Amino acid sequence: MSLLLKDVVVLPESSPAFPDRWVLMNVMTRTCLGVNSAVLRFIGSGGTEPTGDAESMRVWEIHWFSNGEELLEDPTRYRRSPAEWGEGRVVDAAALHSLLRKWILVADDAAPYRARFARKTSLLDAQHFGNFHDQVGSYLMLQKRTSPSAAWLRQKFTPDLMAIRGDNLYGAVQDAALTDYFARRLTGSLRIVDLGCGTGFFANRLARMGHRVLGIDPNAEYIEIARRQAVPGAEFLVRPIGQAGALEALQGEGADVVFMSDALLFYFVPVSTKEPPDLGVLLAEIRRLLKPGGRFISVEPHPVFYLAPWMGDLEWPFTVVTEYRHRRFSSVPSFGQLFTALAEHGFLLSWMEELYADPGRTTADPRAHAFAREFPLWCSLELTPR
Amino acid sequence: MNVQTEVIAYLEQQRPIPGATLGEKLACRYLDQGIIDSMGIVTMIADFEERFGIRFDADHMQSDAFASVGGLIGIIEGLRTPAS
Repeated sequence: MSLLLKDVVVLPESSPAFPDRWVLMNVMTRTCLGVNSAVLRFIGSGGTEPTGDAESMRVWEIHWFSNGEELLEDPTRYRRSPAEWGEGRVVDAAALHSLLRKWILVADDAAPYRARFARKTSLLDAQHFGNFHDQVGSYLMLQKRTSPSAAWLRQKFTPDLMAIRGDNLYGAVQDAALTDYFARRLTGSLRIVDLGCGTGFFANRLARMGHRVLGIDPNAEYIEIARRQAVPGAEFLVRPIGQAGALEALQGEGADVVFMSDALLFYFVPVSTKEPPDLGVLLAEIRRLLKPGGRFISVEPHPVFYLAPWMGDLEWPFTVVTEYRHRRFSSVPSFGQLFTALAEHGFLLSWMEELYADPGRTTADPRAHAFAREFPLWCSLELTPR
Repeated sequence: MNVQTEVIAYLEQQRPIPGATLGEKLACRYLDQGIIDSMGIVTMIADFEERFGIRFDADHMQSDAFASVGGLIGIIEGLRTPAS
């Protein structure tokens, strides 16, 4: 029998109601299998000894692609409640080995296994695991037959696109924290450019606070929606942000603040496997738009904890960090990559906050809320041109 | 309805398929060549399913054959032929 991969951890999920339940999880691939202790003993023996345990080995196929409905759903990707595991099934050694191989818990040779940790060459590529965006895109296309772009909006906003959803982490963390952040850090009446404004949610919120806001997005459909729900003080334009000259018609040195949310990451790790757009072009435009003393504020997924697996106790979770410098799964740059790139283009960090879940809000999954109270999933960066 | 003609015409609407002969066009790996991008695949699959009255499953779409023009045509022709 092939050996269990070193990337596999064993997690206890036993309880008085559901005794002898364990999870084998490959923390790199985020694939899992539920097993009983007979399986653990069998694996521990090297899987060769014909013991009585082998006759009582039981498994549960508990892996599920949690990010198909919501991108920030439980990133640990197994059925957390043993009540949902069902009866499982008794397996012999051959069937067990087949399942361990299927869920990438064993491998005969490390080299071809490691070679699979690369971006998918297309959404149809089954050989490579791909990063988070590849995996979501592939799942949505192959299993759900839906366009990945629609999922981005659905998971963040209510169906009418008028508000951030209140039942997931976008509401409990991003909406709650930015409401507070805007009130503290954007005082007075400012001229704000919201780059990559999407359907204009934050632009309209900022306009309601008394600021004059220009929202810009390359997607004409989004801007049409933004214009329909625009409030006084908010205007919207379609422009191909990030392309040279895209914003040249706008007045220079006219903005107190240029704001972006969940957008800068795509200049480091593109959604498709194509080269990312030129960060230098974007930052040169932002520099030109800002008044002297103006700020570029970017709310970004946290370089360490965004998409990190939620492990351990429901109320006191922990996580494991499986990568940082070389991004195989993550879709955001490391802090070093981010700040070095920004500094190379003349922007220095002047203020930073890490965003946590508001204790006063809830999420449909309480584990998500507990995790996000301890680990920041987003951070807000204030950058000034030097 | 000629599957080969329709598939080649569809792909060439996106971008010319490299190759001087039909054999070279059939051997073309259209994804690797950038003839159709990741988002375009979604539309292409839906279009072919409707046009030819078939349904691809995930195994078809992730097979090596699906990645070449000729292989794709073969899969579609196989799906259109009722199993005997």
